[in-house]
Amino acid sequence: MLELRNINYETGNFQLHNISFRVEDGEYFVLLGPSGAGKSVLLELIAGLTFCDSGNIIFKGKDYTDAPAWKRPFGLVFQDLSLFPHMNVYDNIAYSLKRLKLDKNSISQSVEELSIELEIQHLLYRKPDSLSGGEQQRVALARTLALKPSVLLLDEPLSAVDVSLQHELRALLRKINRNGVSIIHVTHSFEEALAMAQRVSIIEKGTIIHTGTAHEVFERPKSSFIANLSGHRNFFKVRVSREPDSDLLRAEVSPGNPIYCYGNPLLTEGFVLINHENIVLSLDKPDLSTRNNFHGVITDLHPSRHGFEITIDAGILLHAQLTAESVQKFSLEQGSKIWACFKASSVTLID
Amino acid sequence: MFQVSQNRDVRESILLTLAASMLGTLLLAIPGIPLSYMLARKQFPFRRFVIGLVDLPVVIPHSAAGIALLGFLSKDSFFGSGMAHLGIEFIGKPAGIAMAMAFVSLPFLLNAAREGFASVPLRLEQAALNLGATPSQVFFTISLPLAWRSILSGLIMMFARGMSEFGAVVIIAYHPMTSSVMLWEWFGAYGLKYARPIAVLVILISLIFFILLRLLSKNDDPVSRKKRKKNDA
Repeated sequence: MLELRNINYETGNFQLHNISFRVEDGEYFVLLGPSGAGKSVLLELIAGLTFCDSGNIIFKGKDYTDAPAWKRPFGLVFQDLSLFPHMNVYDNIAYSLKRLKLDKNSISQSVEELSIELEIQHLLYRKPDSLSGGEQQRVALARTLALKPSVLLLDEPLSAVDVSLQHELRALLRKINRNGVSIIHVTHSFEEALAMAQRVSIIEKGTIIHTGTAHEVFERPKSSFIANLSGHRNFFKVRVSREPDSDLLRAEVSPGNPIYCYGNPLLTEGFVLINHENIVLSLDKPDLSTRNNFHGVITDLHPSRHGFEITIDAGILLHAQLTAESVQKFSLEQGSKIWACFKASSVTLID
Repeated sequence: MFQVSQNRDVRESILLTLAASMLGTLLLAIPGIPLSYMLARKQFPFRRFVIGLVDLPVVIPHSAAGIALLGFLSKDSFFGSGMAHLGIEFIGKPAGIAMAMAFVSLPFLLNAAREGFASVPLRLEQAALNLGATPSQVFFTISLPLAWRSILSGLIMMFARGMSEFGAVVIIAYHPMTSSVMLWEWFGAYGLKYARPIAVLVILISLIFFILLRLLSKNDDPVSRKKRKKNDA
């Protein structure tokens, strides 16, 4: 098991604050965050290419915090791959094996096995600059796997390849993981995280804000970044107070714009999440049992996969979806006034 | 000029010049190349000052550099007396000439090699470290091969500049005579008519060596290698 304990690191204007997480043996762990969040720096800290100001990196009970990079059992595949341009594919893959001073036959056998596993045996005597992006990615993986790392660190491994190759590479990474290699995969792509992760950590501005299974993290997001990624557009940070003589809570996005909901009555601050499917739209004031009824103006209306996505400014910006038929029927356009209604029970309050 | 080339003193002085410059270049390359790497990669106090200091032999008068070197290499100095105990003398000897040539031309190698090392992406060195290579293995397997063209170019410039050195050499060793010293002496003693053929000969030989070494470095160029492959195909 790899464990990061309270890692702090500062360089220039960038800081990593109190980073802690654990990766179990054989686990596929994804670190998801926007650009500049500190994902790559974290991998470099684990790999020993840079050193943290405080905290510990523990692997199988041994402290690797101050160990030099060449003594760590972690293999890093860089985002830019960093294949050695003056060596052919064979020598790139054999690089780490030659450092171990293995005999030529063992090196040759290992390179052959890896090249077969990663389907690059036909490329062995070519230079990296003559390979496609996908081929280079496979060579970089083979080169790192040659060292038989206990933990494989992947920095945006699918960002440089096209969609069809992404599927192939995902299958390949799963296969490597199934062979018992723990993987920490860094990405800014929600789809990638969802497709690959057994567990996922969300990192934002140098801080881990949520760790859990993909389902836990994306169903109850704890930041607008992750809410946006997972398609939750109606996600607001709120101050929470109790409604007198009621179970209802009053969650204020801004003064005078309360959203009524149910949840933990002890909460004073948190986030609310409103699924756009639960928002009912009406031109006239509806006679409904909904507790949240907002009257606003359509500020944006554009086609989406399921019809039209509309944005309503009602003191807070609400996002809803309508079919193309409904938009036509109600003659909706930018500037049209509309009611947006949803039940208090349909609002998720997250601490 | 043919007659001049048949002159034994002239031939010996040209051979001495080539050998001393080659020896000086190779000897100082051994500490010079790792020093260039350090200047390119490592951060340490007064680094910029040291980088500036490297150029000092180029900007000071070479006769002054020769005097400074004389103080360092003479038997009165700690270094000179230590080397004399080992049987190595510098003043009036080819070893001293080699040192004088190398001292004033070393900046050409240091600057070219430093730029070469700086142009090697740091990521490649980090990738090698991550693959289990120690820093010295990274230097020999990644940094040195990738900076080699710049280093070779620096070595050629250092060698060529060393061959032409006069000021520092004449202070350390008037005899045995290098081609520059001989040229100066012949000009003073016999005038332009006798000095001109040897000047032309020295220029020609320097040019031939310079072109040969440049061709050698060009053959190592990946771009020209690619062109050759294309032509072969």
